[in-house]
Amino acid sequence: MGKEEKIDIDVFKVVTRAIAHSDSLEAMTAYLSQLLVAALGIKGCSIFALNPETGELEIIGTFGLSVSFLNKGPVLSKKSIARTLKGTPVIVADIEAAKVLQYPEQTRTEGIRAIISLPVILNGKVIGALRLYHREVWKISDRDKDSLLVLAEMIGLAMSYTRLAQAVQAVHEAVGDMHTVWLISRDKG
Amino acid sequence: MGTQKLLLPYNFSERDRKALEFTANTFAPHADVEVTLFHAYLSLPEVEIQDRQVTERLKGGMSYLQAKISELESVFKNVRDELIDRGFPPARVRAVFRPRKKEVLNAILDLHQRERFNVIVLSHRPATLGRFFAGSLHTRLISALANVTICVVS
Repeated sequence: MGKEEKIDIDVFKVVTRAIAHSDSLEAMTAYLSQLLVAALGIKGCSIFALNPETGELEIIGTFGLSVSFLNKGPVLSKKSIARTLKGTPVIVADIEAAKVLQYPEQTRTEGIRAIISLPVILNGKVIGALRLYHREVWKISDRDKDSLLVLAEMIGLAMSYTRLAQAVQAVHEAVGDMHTVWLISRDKG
Repeated sequence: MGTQKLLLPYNFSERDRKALEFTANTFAPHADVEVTLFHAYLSLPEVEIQDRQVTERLKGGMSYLQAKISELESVFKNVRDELIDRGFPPARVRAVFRPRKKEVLNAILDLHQRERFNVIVLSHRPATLGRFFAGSLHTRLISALANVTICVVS
C-alpha cells in the first residue's frame, strides 16, 4: 500500500455516525473497529483502554483478529509500541524492520505486516490506544493519520461519557433497591 | 426429575475456557443435563452500509467482515464439538450463534425468556476496565433473574 488516502469524507461520516448512534461503549468500539477494517481494507483493528494500575492495555473492542492472537497474553504498555502511551502515534510500516513489538512471533503468525498505533487522549492524558493491523507493508498518508487521530479523540470522549452514564445507572439501581421503610423512617426523623 | 437446561455463554476468552471445563467436568456425567452453548456477536452496522453515501470500497469491505464472522462461527462449532468430546452426548449439546444489537446481557435474558434455563454458567471477569465501563455481567444477571442457579467460575 502506498501513501494513498483511504479515509474520505464519506468514510468519515459513516464511522462517526457509528460512534454517535451506539448506545454502549462496547457497541461503539465494535462498530468502529468493523467499519475501519472495511473502509481501509485492512486485516483488523483493536481499541484498548489503559489500566493505569497494571500498565496493561485492555481490549474494549476489536475485529478481524484470531481468537488465539487475542488470547496471546497481556498487552503491556511499556513493552508494546510504548511511544503511543507518550501520546505519539506510532507507525510500524513493516514489522520485519521493527523492534517495538511485545509479541513479534505471534504477530507474524497472525499474518500481520504493519501496525498503526494511535493514542486515545482525554484531557491531555493517554487513556488508551487505537490500533490498526494490515497484512501488507503500510505507509499511511499524513491526512489519514490526522483523520485517525481525530477518531481516537472521539473514542476518548465516548469512554468518558460511558463511564459517567454507568455511574448514573449505578446510582439509579442503588436508589431503586432502597427499601421504602428506610425512606419512611428518614421522613419521620 | 426432568431435563435440567444449562446455558453456557461463551466469548472465546481464557476465562470462558475455564467455564467450559467446569461445565464438562461437573455436568457431563449427568444424563439429564442439556447444554446450550451461546455466543451473541454484535451485528454488522446494517443501517450504515445501506447509506447511499457509503463508498464502493466500504461495501466491498463489509463482505470481508461477514467472512470473519463465518470464521468465528467455525471456531464456535469446534467449541461445541469439544463439549461432545468431553462426554456430552451430541443430542444434549446445542450451539446458538447469533447477532445482537444490544448488550450481551439483553441477549442472554432474551434467550432465557424463551428457554427457561435451570442453570447458567458464567466466567468471572476480573476487575478489568471493560467491567469498569460496562459493569459486571454476573452481578447484573443475578439482579435480573429469579429461580435460576447461576455458577460463576473464577
